[in-house]
Amino acid sequence: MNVLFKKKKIPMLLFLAPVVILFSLIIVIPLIQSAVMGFTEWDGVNKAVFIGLENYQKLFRSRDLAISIRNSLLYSAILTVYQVGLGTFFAYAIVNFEFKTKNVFRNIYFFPVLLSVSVVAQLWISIYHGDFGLINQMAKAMGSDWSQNWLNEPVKGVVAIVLAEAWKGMGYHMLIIYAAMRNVAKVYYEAAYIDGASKGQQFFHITLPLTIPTIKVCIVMCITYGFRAFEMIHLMTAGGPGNYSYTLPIMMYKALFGLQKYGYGSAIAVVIVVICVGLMLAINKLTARFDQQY
Amino acid sequence: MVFVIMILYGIICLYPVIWMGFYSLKTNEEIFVTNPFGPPLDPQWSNYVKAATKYDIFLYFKNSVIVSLASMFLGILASLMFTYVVARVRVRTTRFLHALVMAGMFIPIQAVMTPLVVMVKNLHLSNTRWSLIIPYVALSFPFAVMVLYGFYRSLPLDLEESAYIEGAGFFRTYFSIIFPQLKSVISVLVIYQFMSHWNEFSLALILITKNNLKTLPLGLAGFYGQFSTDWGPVGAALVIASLPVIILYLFFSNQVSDAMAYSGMKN
Repeated sequence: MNVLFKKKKIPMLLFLAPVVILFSLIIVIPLIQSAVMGFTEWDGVNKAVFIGLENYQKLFRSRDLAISIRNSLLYSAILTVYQVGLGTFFAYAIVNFEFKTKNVFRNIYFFPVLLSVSVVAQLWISIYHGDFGLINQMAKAMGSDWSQNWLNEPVKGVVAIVLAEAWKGMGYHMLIIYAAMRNVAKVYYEAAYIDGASKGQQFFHITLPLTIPTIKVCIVMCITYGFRAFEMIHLMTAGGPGNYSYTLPIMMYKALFGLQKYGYGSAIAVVIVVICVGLMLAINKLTARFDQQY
Repeated sequence: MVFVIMILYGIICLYPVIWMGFYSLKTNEEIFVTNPFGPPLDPQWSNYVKAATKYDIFLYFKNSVIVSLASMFLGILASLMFTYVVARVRVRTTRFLHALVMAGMFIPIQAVMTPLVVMVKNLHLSNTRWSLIIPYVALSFPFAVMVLYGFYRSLPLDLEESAYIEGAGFFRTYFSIIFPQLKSVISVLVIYQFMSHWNEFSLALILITKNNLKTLPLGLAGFYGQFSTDWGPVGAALVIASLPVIILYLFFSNQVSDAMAYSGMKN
């Protein structure tokens, strides 16, 4: 320890205390409790009963599990392609092309990020509305009779929800990637320009390799988000119709607040954590070689 | 070509929101039949009056302001103090605490939800604002600590050294010498934390059931749905709810962008 701080132990403990106490109380202890509660059956009122792995067996036998996983994978895939794909494209366009309005574009693309999830959900409910929604009205205006009640369709409903989510979040990923691209030193581009490299070549040989660590972060966020997806689904279809738009967090919410099954809900929470952390580690491991290349 | 795509996507970003603004000023007949796309021909300001009186929008607004400001203030203060010690004194305990808080970044919120519901009930905090503020404060630590840690490490130790030689104590040194150096990083945190608390939905949903404590995102969710027929007033309520962040962004767009870009470094 630095001599400067040798005699300051008590004030330093006071400085550490609020975070240590609150973080333990709200994150660490509940996390352990979740893990323990996953092995019990508990309605939140009576005494909890230890039942071993029964909750997990029940979860893996559940009819809702396959559909939840499928929806999450769909979610991850669309979010990644839409948000990271378009985000990279627009970030590159804004960084590299010289026009006066580039900041205007950056701000416009970022704008939906600011809106509350409740606002975005309601807005897109009206856009997808079966009778008077924007999409169906536009189809009608163009003389087509083709209209759908988007959110009431099995797979299309989930796709519709993900697109709303991706629409909201694209600007966030664009901005993160934009910040990384802006930090790429100008000399690389100057050298490439002298060598006669096109904008496309510059992108694949300079920009992309140097920003891949950041893009990877965005990809991890998008993929794990698919397994954490809750708010937009809860607000737009509440898991319906039937169980067509279920994800694990929706299952968990229903277990807690519909059925008062705290043990089962906790087991689902544990599975969510394991999947998210597992995916993150796996992606980092698989892509580790890209990081060391440059 | 790229320019055309950019303009097209710009329209996709903005038009839905403008459309919402339009229909907040229309009658149902105008939205559904006569004029679905364009600006309102006969603006129905009464929709806004209805939204303000029929829905408890200002109540939710007030709750959101209180909860967001309190969580933001307490969260940043606690993180400032904690990170200072962790960044200045690097022994085994502080390294462990730092790593522990940073690991919180990877924990999905669902992992702590059930025990939080139980805890709030047991501590008799159900349906108080503290039941939201305390978790919000705790959940804001990982990001704040990450941002502050790098910043503190870049401050030279000479600052404290000279203060201590002149006989200033620990607290005085911190608040009068170190704290003033942190303006720029605190402004980033203020914006980021305020916006994330303002828009938080999941925890509010499970922890608040009383109508008069609902925050804006939760309150908004209560009066609409797939089958709502009152489009005009609902649109008006959505516009009112979105105004604060829009105004914030109009004035501080660069700071907001910086704050968001920071969060991308979190892995």
